[in-house]
Amino acid sequence: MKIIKTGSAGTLESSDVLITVRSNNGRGVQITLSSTVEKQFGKQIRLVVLETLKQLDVTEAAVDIQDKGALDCAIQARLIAAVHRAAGIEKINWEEMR
Amino acid sequence: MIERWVSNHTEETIRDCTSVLELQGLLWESDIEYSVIIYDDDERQHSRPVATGSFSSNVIKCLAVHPSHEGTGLAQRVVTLLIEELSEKQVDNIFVFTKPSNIPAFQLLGFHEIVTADTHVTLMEQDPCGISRFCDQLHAHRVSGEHIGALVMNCNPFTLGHRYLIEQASRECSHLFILVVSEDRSEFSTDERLALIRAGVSDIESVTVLTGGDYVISRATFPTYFLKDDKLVRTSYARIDARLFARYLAPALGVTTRFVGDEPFCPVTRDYNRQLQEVLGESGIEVKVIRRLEHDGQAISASKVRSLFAQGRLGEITGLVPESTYQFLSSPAADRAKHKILAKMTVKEQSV
Repeated sequence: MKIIKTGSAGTLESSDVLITVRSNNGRGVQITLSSTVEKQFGKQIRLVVLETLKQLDVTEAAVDIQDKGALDCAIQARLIAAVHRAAGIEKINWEEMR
Repeated sequence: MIERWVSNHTEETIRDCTSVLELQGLLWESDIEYSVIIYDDDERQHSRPVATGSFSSNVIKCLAVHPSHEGTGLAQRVVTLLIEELSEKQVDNIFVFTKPSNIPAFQLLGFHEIVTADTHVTLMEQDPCGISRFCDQLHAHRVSGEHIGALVMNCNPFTLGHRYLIEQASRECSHLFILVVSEDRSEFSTDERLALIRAGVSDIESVTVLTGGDYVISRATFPTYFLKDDKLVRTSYARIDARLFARYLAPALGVTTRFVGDEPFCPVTRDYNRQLQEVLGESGIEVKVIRRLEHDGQAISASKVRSLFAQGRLGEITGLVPESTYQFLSSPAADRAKHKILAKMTVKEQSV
């Protein structure tokens, strides 16, 4: 998926995450992470993000993650929504995703 | 708790926002486009506003929580709602001016510090790479040379006065960068202003015209609400703008000299230039003041041009603007700007 604008999803409330995806042409994938549980789960969060981006076939994006202790599935869902918005795709086909 | 989103303010909603702001020593700003207000009780007659936040363009402002509700996550909630609304508007980056003591709180809300002026004001942005990406873009325009100059201009619209400033400045350096205020608050749109400047200087080789992006702060963006003393607002604004220039823009372009126009009778500009000299001086950047060009004993001003243009007195403009600007003003493409000027003039007359 090609990132053409800025898209975000999520909130800053406890147990949620706010993810903003911006275009990052020519610089690959860049992740900035700030998390209340960074020490414990920082590595795991990055892993989930990278894996999800791979599944969505995103090769160039600046991904900013403001995590307030979200579960992996919440991070995934927020990232999928943010990427679709940043790619200008209105409808998300959740069925197709595995 | 009840949440209220306001895109068209009434006296009542402004009163509700102001009541919370005042408790934190803040003021309401007239350019606000959208606000969030949180009330403490679901029943209307008993409820009072306990948190509020607003934005104007891509700047979050007038954010306050009632002292009795501090530390309960309301600020988080307000900022989240504002960010949601701003992302609907396809804003690329979000800015906030706040007190330096609030930096940790805004960092928890996902903001990054760009620049701080003394103990009064900090500018933060949401995009973690915003300023560095902009500097990379500027860096691509770098040229070699010993004396690299910069002029920051609005040019609403481009006059012979602006042309004179550019000519004088470019004579004193090997290359001159013109950074144009890109905020779309002037009567002439950013694209129109840029096009007129480019056309007006196309014959001068050692000049590059660039947009200032989000990082040339105009007086219009700068909030007045958290500093009641007007003098302090002006000083802080000047210092924020100067620090941004000294720390980011000047190094990216290799600027050694910043040029400014002299404004002998305007205390605001004089004060601004003084702050600029002080802050840039610390970074080893020279500030040179250029005397403005006079026409019939008066400095050429863009506001004079706007007023003559709006009144249809095009003939009187010929001595004030270059041919390219004159061509544009006498074309139908300039109608939009004319309506905007007339609308602003009527508002002023009514308020007098």
